[in-house]
Amino acid sequence: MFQPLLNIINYSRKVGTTVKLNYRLLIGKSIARLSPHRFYTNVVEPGNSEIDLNNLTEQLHSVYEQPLIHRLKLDHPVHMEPREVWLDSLSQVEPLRLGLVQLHPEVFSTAPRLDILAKCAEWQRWYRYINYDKVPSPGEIQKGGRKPWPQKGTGRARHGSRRSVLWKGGGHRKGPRGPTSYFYELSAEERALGLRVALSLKLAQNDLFIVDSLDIPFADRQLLIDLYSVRDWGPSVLYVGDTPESLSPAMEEALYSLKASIFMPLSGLNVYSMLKYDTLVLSLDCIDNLQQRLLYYKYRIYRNSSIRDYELELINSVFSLQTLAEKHPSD
Amino acid sequence: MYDKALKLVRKFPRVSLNNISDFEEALRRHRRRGRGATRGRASGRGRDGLQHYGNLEPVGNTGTNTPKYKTIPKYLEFYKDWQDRRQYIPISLYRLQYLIDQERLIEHSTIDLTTLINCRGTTVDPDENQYGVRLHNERGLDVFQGCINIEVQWLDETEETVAAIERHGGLITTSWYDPISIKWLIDPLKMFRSGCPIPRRTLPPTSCVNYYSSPEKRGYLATAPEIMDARKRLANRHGYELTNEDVVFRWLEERKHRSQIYYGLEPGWIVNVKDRLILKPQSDKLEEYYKK
Repeated sequence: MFQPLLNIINYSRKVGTTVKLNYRLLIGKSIARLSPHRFYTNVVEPGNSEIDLNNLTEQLHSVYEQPLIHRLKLDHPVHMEPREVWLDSLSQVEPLRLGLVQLHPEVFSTAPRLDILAKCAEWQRWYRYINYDKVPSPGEIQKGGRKPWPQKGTGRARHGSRRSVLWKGGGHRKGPRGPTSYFYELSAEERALGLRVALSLKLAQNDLFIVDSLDIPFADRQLLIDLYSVRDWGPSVLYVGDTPESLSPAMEEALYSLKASIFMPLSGLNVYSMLKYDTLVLSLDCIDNLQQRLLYYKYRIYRNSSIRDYELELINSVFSLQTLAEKHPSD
Repeated sequence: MYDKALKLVRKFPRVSLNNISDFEEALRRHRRRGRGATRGRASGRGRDGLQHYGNLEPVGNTGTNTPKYKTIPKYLEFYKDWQDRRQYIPISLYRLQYLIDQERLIEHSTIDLTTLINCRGTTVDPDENQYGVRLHNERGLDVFQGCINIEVQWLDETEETVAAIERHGGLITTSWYDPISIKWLIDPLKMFRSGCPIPRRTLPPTSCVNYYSSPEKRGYLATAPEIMDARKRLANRHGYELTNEDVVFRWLEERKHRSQIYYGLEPGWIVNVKDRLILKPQSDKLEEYYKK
């Protein structure tokens, strides 16, 4: 759920006009699932705004008296420490460090497995590719059933059909035969590992930023361009939010005009896009969900099929760390 | 944990679609079948020539004399009965500490071969003449610091290994399990499902009765006082003090007796996991047999 920090202020447009964005063009970008009524933004008079543009930083600091620390609620291995990252904001051009976010070490600092990334990117490219090339064989071409001229006596070479491989206009024996699918499966564990490796590399190479919400003060692309230059964010930026609704209308409008920046809901996060786009910006609402789902695929165990249900019940009821601790108290 | 690698990556150019690739081994194109001059039809004999049409002699053939590979005898002392020899799976102190750190083995608890297999610390296969697990100190003497009561089937380099465990208040015993008992130990649930009564553990063969009776090797046939003396002697020799002696004495009394396979279960009992029942033999003959 996004809650706007500031009202939408657009001082560069005429007061009282509504801005209509082209619905069809936006379909081509990755925010096609949004409903049409969101593409209309109401322009507000500068005089009516609640917050002054001049003293933005002071007002923001007063809102947050303490730093926000988003703690890690999931368990992590004993020997790995959670990674800590600044919690930033898009409300102003300079970085406004609102607090810290703790990130799970197994999601954001796994081994840099470039081969896994290569596999995942390759899979993404090939699994849905179908090659529609088809070239007819001699039997598929119309005509060619009759012997063109008798076997002997004409002085010409002997032939059996007008559409054999030898003839102009004839078929091919070794050509591509029909739609070929290049579908194959990569296991869910491997794909989840690819995502974890990509996230770890983005963090290690200083290309991962976490933002409290995907909201900007006014729908102006120049704000984002200035933001990128000040914060040294790459020319291409990938914004990720929990749901399509995480993107605010102002941000939508600003991103629409920036070709190299796109928004994706969490379900669309993939290795290919993370490698293609230089900077990755995650919204705070998607962090918990992301980590939980990726760790589910790492740690899920297919139950040993030889153990029966009633045996598993007994094991779970009898074996617990607490009972063992009671039996053998440490000295 | 991967700090070093990730620190290196920080200095490298940005990882992108144009600088990643799979390993060489995965990209290598292997020789495919049905290619070449014979298109896979010559049964591996090539095309024409003596190799294809003829009958070659085996390697080492010398025509009139018996070949060297037959005349020269094997070093039989080394090879005799090699397939019937007993095998013990090695496990190091480092591996034990690793399992304890991961909380797969719990400190201050009794560790059995069953426990080790349940936490996937080792695998033991009785069909391969494997009679259990042997503890060695090739790696982990300096690192081991757990207090455990562990039961293994053999000890390599006794003194240092035992000292490493007893230094931290632990206890180690070596015991003999015959192949049938090992089967019952490895997968108890599977054996309970069979409906057979828990068998008696046999005594060790004559060649290793002395091994399992000696307190220096902490054998299961040695008595508790003998082992307590041996502990004191070892502590004096290696220069550490014995702690946790009450608990260790309790552990010594709770050791399995010589025909027992599981803690808390006697031979002759039938365990019914489904109905949560244990059936014990009633007749005198059976009791006499199982209590020998």
